[in-house]
Amino acid sequence: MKREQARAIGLFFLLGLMEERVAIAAASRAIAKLKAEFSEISRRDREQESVSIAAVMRVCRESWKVHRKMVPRNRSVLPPSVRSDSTPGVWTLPKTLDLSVWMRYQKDASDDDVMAVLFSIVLGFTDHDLADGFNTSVGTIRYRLGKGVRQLGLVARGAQA
Amino acid sequence: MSEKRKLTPFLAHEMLFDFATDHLDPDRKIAIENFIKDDRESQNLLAAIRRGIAYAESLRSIELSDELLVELDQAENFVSLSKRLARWSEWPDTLRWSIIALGVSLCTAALVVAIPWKSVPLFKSGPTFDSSTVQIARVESRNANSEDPSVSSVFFGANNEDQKENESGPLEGSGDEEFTDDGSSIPKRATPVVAAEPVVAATPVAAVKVPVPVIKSTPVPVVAKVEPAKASRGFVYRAFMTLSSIDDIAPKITQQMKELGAEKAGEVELGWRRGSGRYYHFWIPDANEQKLLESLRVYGPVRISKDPHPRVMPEGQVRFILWIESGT
Repeated sequence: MKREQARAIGLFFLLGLMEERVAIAAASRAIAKLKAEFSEISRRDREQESVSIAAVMRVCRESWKVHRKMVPRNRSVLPPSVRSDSTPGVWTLPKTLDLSVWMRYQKDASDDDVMAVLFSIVLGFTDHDLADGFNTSVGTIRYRLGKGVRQLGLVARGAQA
Repeated sequence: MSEKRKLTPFLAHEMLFDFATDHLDPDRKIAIENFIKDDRESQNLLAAIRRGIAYAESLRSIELSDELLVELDQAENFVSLSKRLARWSEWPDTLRWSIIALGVSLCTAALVVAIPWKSVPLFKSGPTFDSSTVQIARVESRNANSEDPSVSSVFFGANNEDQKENESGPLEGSGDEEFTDDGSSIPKRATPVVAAEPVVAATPVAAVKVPVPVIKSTPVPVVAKVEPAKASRGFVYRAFMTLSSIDDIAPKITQQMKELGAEKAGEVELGWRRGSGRYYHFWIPDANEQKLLESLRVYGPVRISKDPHPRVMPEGQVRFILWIESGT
């Protein structure tokens, strides 16, 4: 699998779980499982051949279900690696990005809505990919995305106020 | 616009996300635009949706550290690791080339061992077999260390092939081997036959002069001058033949031998079958030696050598070991 896909999976779990240790464990589990399923893609072909999006979504959802229980659901404090501005952590945020908006959105949103927003807008998967991955219709996906970004925008407006 | 296309606030709010992402058909898009102009709540929701999309897109710009990317890139579980290691292309280059080199070496060694080089004419050493060449006789020294000038090899027949190559079975032995009817070879150490006269008296068949000490005034017993171990005059004729119809000819040879006075010298009968060949170990009166050879040559070339042997036969007798092999 491409390194870009590994980065996308890592970002998916870091934003989705907001707990560095659990997120890395979840991402590693998902990537290892993809490697086991797509073993025909050798290391040398990794930059050319990518794993199918449907497989990425399926494995990420499975790993999400396992690791989501390991982190507190209604947490309002940023993880230490994010709060520290002087010491670079495993991820680096743009200075204009307020991650507390995302955390407040996560408190009220369902897991499927959060995953749909991450897959679609953050990772750039299409609606049809999401419909296949979630085993539902494109209309349902569009509804979840509309509801998710609307909530996210309302939280962001409240943060600005 | 018809009445059917007039939007309710609920429908308009639900379509705001599609409107913001440009997923509406032109008619719906115009309807939403018209609806938003007069609806404050719809304007606020549309702004929230656009803000939410912008915020979500800004999350893409989060960068992960190289250490994390490397860690994720190397993530393996048991299944993925075993599958990866099971693939030849995933092995380290040094290990792969080492295995290839080892395999090539083993194959080469196996080929060198497996190929019968002596049967390949190009690699055969010594004089080659030529059936068209007839060599009547050749006398040469068989043992350079032997002090006995009578020890020699005599070859008769059509082949001058190296003797050691074609000699097999009994001919490879020392001459002491004897065979029993059950096929086992009974090696015996040389038990010299004590002749009736001193060892010096055992004159070889060939006309070779035995050095005789010069005696002048004081006669010295001849026996005192002879060292029994070195002065042994014993010998054995080793003969070898290759016959195609051995089953028909062997009984005739046996019969002719008996008529010439041959007696078996070992435990097995004359013409004892061993494998595809016949084995004759016998003694014969030396007067009939030439007759025997002539009768054998009737059936094919005979290669014969006279080898030294510790066993000394009584005077007037010579010992033969004849091996007839089946072949062409």
